[in-house]
Amino acid sequence: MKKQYASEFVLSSSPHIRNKESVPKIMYWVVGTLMLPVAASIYFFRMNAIRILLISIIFSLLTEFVFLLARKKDTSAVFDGSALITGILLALTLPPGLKSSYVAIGAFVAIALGKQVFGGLGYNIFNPALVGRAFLQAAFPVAMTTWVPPVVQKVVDAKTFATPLGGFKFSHVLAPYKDLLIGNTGGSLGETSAILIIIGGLVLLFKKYIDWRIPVGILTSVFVFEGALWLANSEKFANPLYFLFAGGLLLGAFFMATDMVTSPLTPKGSWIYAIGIGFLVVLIRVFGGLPEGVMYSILIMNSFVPLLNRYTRPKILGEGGKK
Amino acid sequence: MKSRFYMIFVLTLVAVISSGLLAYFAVYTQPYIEKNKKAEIEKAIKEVVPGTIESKVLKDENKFKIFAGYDKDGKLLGYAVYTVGTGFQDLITIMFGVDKHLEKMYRLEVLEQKETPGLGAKITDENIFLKFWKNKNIRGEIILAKPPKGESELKDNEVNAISGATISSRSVVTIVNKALKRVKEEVKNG
Amino acid sequence: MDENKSYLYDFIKGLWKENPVLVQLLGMCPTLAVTNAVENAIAMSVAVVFVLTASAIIISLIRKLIPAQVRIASYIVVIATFVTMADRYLAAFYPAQSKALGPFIPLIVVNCIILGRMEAFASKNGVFRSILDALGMSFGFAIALLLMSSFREILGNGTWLNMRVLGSWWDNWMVMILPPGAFLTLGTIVGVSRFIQTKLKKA
Repeated sequence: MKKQYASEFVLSSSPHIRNKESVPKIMYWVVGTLMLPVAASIYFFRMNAIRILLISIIFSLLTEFVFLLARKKDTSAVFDGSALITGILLALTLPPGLKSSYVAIGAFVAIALGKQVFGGLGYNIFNPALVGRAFLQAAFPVAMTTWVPPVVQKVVDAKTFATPLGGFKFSHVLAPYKDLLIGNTGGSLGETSAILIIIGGLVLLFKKYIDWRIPVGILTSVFVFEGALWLANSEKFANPLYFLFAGGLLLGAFFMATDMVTSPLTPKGSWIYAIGIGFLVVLIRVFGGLPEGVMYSILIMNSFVPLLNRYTRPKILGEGGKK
Repeated sequence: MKSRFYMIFVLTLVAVISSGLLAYFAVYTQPYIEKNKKAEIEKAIKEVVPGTIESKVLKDENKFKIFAGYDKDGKLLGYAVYTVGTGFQDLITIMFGVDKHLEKMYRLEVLEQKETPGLGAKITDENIFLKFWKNKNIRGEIILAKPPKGESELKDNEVNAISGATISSRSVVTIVNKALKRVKEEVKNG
Repeated sequence: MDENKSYLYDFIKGLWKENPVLVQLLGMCPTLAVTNAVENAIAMSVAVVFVLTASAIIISLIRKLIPAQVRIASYIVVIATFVTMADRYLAAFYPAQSKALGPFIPLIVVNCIILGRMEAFASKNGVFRSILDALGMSFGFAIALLLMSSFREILGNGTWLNMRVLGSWWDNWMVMILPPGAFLTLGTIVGVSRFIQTKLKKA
């Protein structure tokens, strides 16, 4: 075993403050930028979006409050913004027609099992919002894969509406790029408008609140892996650009994979983490049973973060030697 | 030296007594277990080839079996085919019955499956899936209708997919088509 | 501590204080695998009660004859004998349960609860106390399995022992009868029982 001299000066336990700014301030910047996809979802899905967002946020905050109370912690931490972000993110990953009771269960699971059982903010291994979504996906598989079209789109058969990725996977039908960019497609609340998500993500990148390596690494690796498949057989595999803009990839890359607590601390770790997510996304979308795999990809790579932090720790002077 | 001998002696004695006990118990339960297994398969044969009173094994492999079903006068009614193939999560075991000219399928039963409950597991559901398989034309292959059609619009060789469980539905179709091909060969060659 | 000597304690310690599943965390494999329905949990529990008690009687009787070097081998032979008998019995007379439990009945052989009790108790104590210990432990196992399977079957299927307990308004939580539900339930139940035990200790 190598001695771990002075490692505490290099690594700090999360949430780590990168910019001398307080945790709530960063959190509220994230919330602010999230308002862009939120606005898009409200525009496209109207009352359904408002209903799901409100329930998800209220139950996230409520669960956080109850757990803080039970654990005899400072309950003002409810408003540090982290539970609010979890609530918004969870809502954005849900299908617009989902029953209110399911949303409430998802929000409870996200905060209770995704965060508080590990010891609260900073100790959770997995992204809480995605834990909530994964639970709902496993608990109510039918409801979680039933999509309703956006209000603005006139579709005759509202029952069998497919997402852009599902349509491609099962029927080989592509959605128009224009609709993908604006968000005029079926899907979860927040996986619709590509442009607004990119703008929100760029703001966070510019403010250096998120690690630029993660979105860049994820998007590039998806593009490269899918591009290679597409070059090999453009009949069978989708255009890599389609893969970038369809589904929850952008939302996941900018807002979920970059979660401070559950992403790696070191630059090298971030690259491995991001490329791993991109690879898994392509693997699941192309060869898996499900049309979309961003959620599982991020959760799987979340579980590697402690390991990545350990093995990509910067070498301390005098340690290691040749390599 | 004595203790080593004693050690071997004790262990041997324990093993001998236990094997004697087990041998007795195995002989005692064997007929019941055989009866259960046979009853299970016979019940399935009778369901997929209606009117069967007696059945005979024509082909007996691990994952592929053919049984001939006879009525009370010993007249051949059709064949029951037992086949195993890959589903979405694990193996699916299917038994289906065809007429003796290999032109029509009587019925399909799913004997064992481990598909996702609530989605793929619906392949065992009569009203959602199995009813489409009754009396299908099997001169060619069975085709999966996607998107699902109304019951009267389905052609005589088409079955509906379960919405949300296309992969499980398609697995069943693939397994059946593969088995149909083999049955036709086996029956032709006697 | 006088209670360590009493016969009653031999029995009741397995139910709660030293519960094999909730406290010792032994026999996790069947606990996770067969608790998707109460029916399966009961069949499994009955099989464990039989195997554990029968093995305890035999091991306790012959404990002085077995040389220390071959004791584990002898225990395993004895346990495997009873497990095989239980397996064949189920296959012969309860084919549906036998099919549902699949390989988990034969796997009782390697269930740590059984070997653990042989090594820790039956090989050191008389027949009567060994029976009490075995019954206590296997009932403790059964209690844990019943708790878990009730939780999972009610939430995951709306039923308890195949009887409808939740109305048609209830939407089944599929995840609870799938493998992830087993882990969630086990974690929750062990967590809650630890919480109660620490509370009781303080009081």
